[in-house]
Amino acid sequence: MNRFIEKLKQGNAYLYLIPCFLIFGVFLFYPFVKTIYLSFYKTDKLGQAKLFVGAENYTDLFTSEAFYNSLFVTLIFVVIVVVGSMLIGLIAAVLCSKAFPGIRFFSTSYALPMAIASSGAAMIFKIILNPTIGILNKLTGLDINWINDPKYALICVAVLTAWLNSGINFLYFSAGLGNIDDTIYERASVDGASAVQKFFRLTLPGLSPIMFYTLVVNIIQAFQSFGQVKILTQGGPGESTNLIVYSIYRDAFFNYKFGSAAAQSVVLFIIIMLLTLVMFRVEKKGVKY
Amino acid sequence: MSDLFLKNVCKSYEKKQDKAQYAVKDFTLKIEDGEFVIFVGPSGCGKSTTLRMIAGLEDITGGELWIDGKLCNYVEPGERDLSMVFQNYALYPNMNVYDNMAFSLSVRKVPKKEIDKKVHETAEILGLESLLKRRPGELSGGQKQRVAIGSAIMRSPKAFLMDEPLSNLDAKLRSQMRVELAKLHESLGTTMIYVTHDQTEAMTLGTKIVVMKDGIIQQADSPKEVYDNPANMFVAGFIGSPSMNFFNGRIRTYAGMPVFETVTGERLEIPGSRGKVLEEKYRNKWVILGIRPEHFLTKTDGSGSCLTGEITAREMLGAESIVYLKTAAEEAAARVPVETPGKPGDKLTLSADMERAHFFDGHTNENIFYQGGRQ
Amino acid sequence: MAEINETITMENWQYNEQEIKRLHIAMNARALRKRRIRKTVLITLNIVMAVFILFPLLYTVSVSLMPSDQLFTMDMNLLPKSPTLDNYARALTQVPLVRFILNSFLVAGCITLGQIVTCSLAAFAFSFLEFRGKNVLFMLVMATMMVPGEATIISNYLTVSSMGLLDTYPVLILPSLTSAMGIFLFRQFYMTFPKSLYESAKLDGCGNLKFIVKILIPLTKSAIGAMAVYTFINAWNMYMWPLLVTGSEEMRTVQIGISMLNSVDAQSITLMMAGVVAIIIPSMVIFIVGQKQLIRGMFSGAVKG
Repeated sequence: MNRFIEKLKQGNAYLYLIPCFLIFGVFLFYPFVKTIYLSFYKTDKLGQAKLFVGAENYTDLFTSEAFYNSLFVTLIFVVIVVVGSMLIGLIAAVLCSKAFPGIRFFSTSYALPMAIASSGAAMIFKIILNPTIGILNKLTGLDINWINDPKYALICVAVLTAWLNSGINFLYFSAGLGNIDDTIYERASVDGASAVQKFFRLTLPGLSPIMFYTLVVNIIQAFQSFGQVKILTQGGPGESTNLIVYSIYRDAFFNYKFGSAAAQSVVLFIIIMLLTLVMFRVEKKGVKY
Repeated sequence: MSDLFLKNVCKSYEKKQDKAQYAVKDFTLKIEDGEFVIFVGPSGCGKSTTLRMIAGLEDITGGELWIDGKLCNYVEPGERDLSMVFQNYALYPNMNVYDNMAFSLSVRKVPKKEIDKKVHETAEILGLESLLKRRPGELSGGQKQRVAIGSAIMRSPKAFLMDEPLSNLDAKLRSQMRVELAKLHESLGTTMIYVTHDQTEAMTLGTKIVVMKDGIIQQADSPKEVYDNPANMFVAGFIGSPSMNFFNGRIRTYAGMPVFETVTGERLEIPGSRGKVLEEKYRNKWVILGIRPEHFLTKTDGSGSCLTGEITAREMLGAESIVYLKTAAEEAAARVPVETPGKPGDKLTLSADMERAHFFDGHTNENIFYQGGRQ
Repeated sequence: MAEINETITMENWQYNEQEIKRLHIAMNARALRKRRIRKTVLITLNIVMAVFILFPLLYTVSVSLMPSDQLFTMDMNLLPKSPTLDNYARALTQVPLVRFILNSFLVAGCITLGQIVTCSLAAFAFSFLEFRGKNVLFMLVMATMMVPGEATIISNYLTVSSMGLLDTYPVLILPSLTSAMGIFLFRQFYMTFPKSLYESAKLDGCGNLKFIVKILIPLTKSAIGAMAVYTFINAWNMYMWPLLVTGSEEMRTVQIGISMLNSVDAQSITLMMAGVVAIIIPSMVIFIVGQKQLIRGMFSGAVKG
């Protein structure tokens, strides 16, 4: 009898998980498995698996120059975005780490990009970067066709993304700075450390746990940037901004190559998973206290 | 050689001059090389602020700070050549013990070899050798404390400043560290300035005790002097445990002898020259009598200074007991031999050792017989 | 005291009274100056940084107030010469902007509410109940954070289209009704409560649901606030999914709707900027109002490395 009640109680616990696992099941686990399944098939225009082709979609990918280009572009993009957005967030957080009049206004400003959509931001940058009427060329006196020049297009999209992502990084770093005990700075001044020494030997290491977390989140987020590419460059000019995510979108919904798109999705997932695992491994060795 | 002089040092937080709120006021003190000076007082008395002003962590609003004959008011904290141990130890959490100890030398660009030698020497003194690779997070409270002290002595500074360094430790560890600190002071011979609110720490460690209240020095003297010859009622009550018993009363002449008469009419004879002085100056005036718990005697034969009261509580301390009496006038605590009979509810008569009693002016609360400034 | 004073003055062998006084005045002035310079530098740097961060937004507002002929010049045109609200009026009539905004509010509101419900239920089970497979299930939830949305979006699209849900509200809402992050955040919060809280409630005859509604939810207001702000903003800013699954104008959310302005005609840039401002305002207002909640909820314990 008791065991029965116990079982009932256990069943009871699963009840609370049903809503969330239902959603996860239908919209995450199932499609994830299906994506893997699709990646081994050729599909028709409606996305139905028609012909089992084994690893052909993958071998096609890894022999296609376009895919390597897409990987390479994504890599550069992620590096610029992550470094840029973390740097902006860090500088902003350091600037706001000591009280001064107006600090509330400034800290709200620094966090604000977080509230802005990638699509809206992309449209804004489209005007700013316009070669003839854009304010950037006017302010700098340059005459560069930012978006249509393969040399600059990727950098533009990356800078835009870095700006968008900097808001949350500012919040992370501010929280991280707040967690550092003030008395260690006092001890450091009595010990004779200069402001620069304090920053590099106490502040930065003190931020390292949150820095690590932020790095992981930023990399994952940067890999998934889509709206800005869609609106600003559509992967062009040439293939210069054809990030993997955009390439997936294009293959699936314009070229109707669902199989190939699925294969790219799987590759993207594996890359992100490996990166995350590697970083957790590094973290376990490196930052601990 | 390093002497410290603080001359009329003030600290006020209010910006406007006319409405200045003083956290520390007219703090004047001379600290000689090798002294172990304790700033003691209740919380908010300005002792920590004073220490932080010496360290350079707080600006000095008024007055001068001299270190070795050099005016140091405006010298950066790092250039004063002092080291400080903080209440929460302030260890750098991202560095191991070795780097924590090496920090103050490494920021001064001391050669690595020298630092290494010094770290190992210091670690040996404090028994930290096996912990050098650990991070502060992996240390116990006592070990952190040792590392903090180790980091402070690395540099052989002009003086050590310690801000309630033992207050985060448990009682047993605290008394153990107290002994070690005293030993350390003896072997290093460096000036130490130590802030605490614990009068036991002050009495056991200090060569000079500075008792503070409301930002003002009440008395600065050797532990013995502060105990035997308190400047005023505050010092008398603050130093010593249990605290001194106070009785309100008047000086009268009774049967040709100067006596202290409590508000409820108990009379205590005042012997010797002090009785004469009191009779002359304070006849029929209000004074406060202070008797330490240890200055009650259980022998009551024939002395004219007996107090009787009902025992309200009794604490056994091993070698002796503390009994709490309710006399007609006041509550009093007395330190008596354990064999003294009596349980709560019983009457007990004790005689006060009037030779060692203290008399405070009823208005100013100053010690009437204080012979101050014998520095 | 006077006695001590005297001895000290006598021993100040290097300076006399006047020199000390002069030194005090000079050094106090210098300290004050130093503090002022430090403050000025700090504020200046902050202003530079804020201008840098806010420039795109400020410029957008500025453009949205310009008549379009003022934008199309080769001259410097940071600020409108004759500010006008004309663009806003036209943006509202040219595309059903109000409809988009209502759609977005509905969708983002439902997603926010739904996430709070599903996530708090799941987090409750994960932190207060014991059941078989608890750790495995929790790991499974956490692992979903690593799956990029793009890895599932194709299959999801195929699923919803086979269900005939395309171009409806449910299709916009359903997939986002739960999130691993929300579960993690709530669980992190619940873990700070002692188990005895739950046990004593049980002893008092409080059922699980009652416990959640009467005790947990009031205690986790700040987490819920943080979660609400974060989820709402993210839902408001959704782009790829609504782009795929909505076809008709009536179902568009703001982010997709606004890109329609993008393609109306090249002359209507000022119009487009007015539209962008109009759709940024709601998310910005919610962000500014909820910022304190957000910071308190997300960073108190949730992210300490």
